Amino acid sequence: MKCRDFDIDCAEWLKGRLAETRAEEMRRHEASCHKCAAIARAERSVMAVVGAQPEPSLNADLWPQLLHRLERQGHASDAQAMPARRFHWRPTMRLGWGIAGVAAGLLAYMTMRPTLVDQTAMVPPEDEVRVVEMIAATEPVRYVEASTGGLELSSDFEIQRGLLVGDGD
Amino acid sequence: MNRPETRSRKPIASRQQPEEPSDEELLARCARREERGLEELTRRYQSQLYGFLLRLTGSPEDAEEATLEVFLKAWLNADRFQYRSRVTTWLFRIAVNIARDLHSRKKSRPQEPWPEDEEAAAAISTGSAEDDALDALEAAERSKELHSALAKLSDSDRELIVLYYFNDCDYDEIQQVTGLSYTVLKTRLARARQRLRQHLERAQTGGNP
Repeated sequence: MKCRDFDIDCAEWLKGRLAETRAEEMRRHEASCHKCAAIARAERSVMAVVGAQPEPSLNADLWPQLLHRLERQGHASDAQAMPARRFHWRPTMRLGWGIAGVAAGLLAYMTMRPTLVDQTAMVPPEDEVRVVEMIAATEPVRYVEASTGGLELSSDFEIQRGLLVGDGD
Repeated sequence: MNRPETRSRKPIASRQQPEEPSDEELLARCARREERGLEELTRRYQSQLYGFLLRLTGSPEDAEEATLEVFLKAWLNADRFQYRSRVTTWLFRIAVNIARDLHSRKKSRPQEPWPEDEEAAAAISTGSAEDDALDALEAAERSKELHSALAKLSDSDRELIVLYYFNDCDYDEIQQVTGLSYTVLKTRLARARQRLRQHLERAQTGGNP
C-alpha cells in the first residue's frame, strides 16, 4: 500500500467503513510506516475532538418567525387560498392550440385576400388617360424640347403621358 | 443544569418517529400549501440545520437567518422535489447553497473576519460550563482550537469537513449534498483533512499558520 492511499482512506478506516481486507491492509501499513502512523494518530485526535463537541442548540423555535415571513411574503395559505399550481402544457392542449392557430391564420388570409389582389392589379388601359390627367393636374412638369434647336414648349399633358406610359423616345 | 446535547450518530438522517408522518409526506403537504406540513418539517429539522449552518458560517445570526431561508426555499420549491433523494439530503443541499451564497456576498463586501475563536466556540459549546472545571477547561481549549482550525479553512474545505466529521456523512451523502463526483470528492476531502490536521497541529504547538 502507498502512503498516499493510506492517507486518503485513513478516516474511512477509522470510521469502520472499509471492507475487512482493506482494513487489514491499513493496519499492516500503519504498523510498518511511522509517517502514516502519525497520520492515523492525528486523525484519531481530530475525531475525538469533533466527537466531544456538543450539538449547537437553537435558542428559540423558528416556526413563528418563519410563519411571519411567509405571511409577509404572501406565501402563507388561508381558508380561501387555492394551492399555487404551476401551468403545465399537456400534449392535447398543445395540439388544440396548434389547430386553433392554423384556423385563425387561414381565416385572416381569406379575409385579406381581395385587398391584396386589388393592390397588385394593373391599371386597365381605358383608365390610363384619366390617371395621367390626374397626375398632370396635381403636379405639372415643365419640359423644354431641345432637339429642334428652338425653344418649343411641349404640352405638359404629353410629356407627363410619355413619362408614365413610356411610349415616347 | 443543562448538559450539552450529545451528537447523534447520523445527524443528516431522518428524525421521523414511527408514529409520525414521513418527511416525504410533510413535503407533499408543503407542495399542497398546507402550513402544517412546513411547521412539522421545521420543528423536526431546525436544530440539525442550524447546527450545520453555524459550523459553516461561524455566526449564530447568519446561521439562524440561513436556517429560515432553507425552510422558505423548501416551501417554495416543494412541488419541484422529485423524490429521488431523501428530503433531509435535499434540505442539506439547500443549506449548502445558501451558505455558499452568503460567503460570496460577504466576500464582495469589506472582509468581515470569520468569528473563529471565542464567539463561535462559545456559541457551539453552550452548556459545558457545568462539567468538572478542569475537563471543561480542557474541552473548551480543544473546542477553541478546532473552531480556529475550521475558520482557517477555505469555504469548500469547511463544507466537506463539517459534512464528513460533524454530520458523519458518508461519501454518497456528501456527493448528493455537494454535487461532487466520487473521485473529486475523495481527493478534495483528503486535502481538506490534511489542512485541518495541519491547522490543529499548529494550534496545539502554538505555531503560526
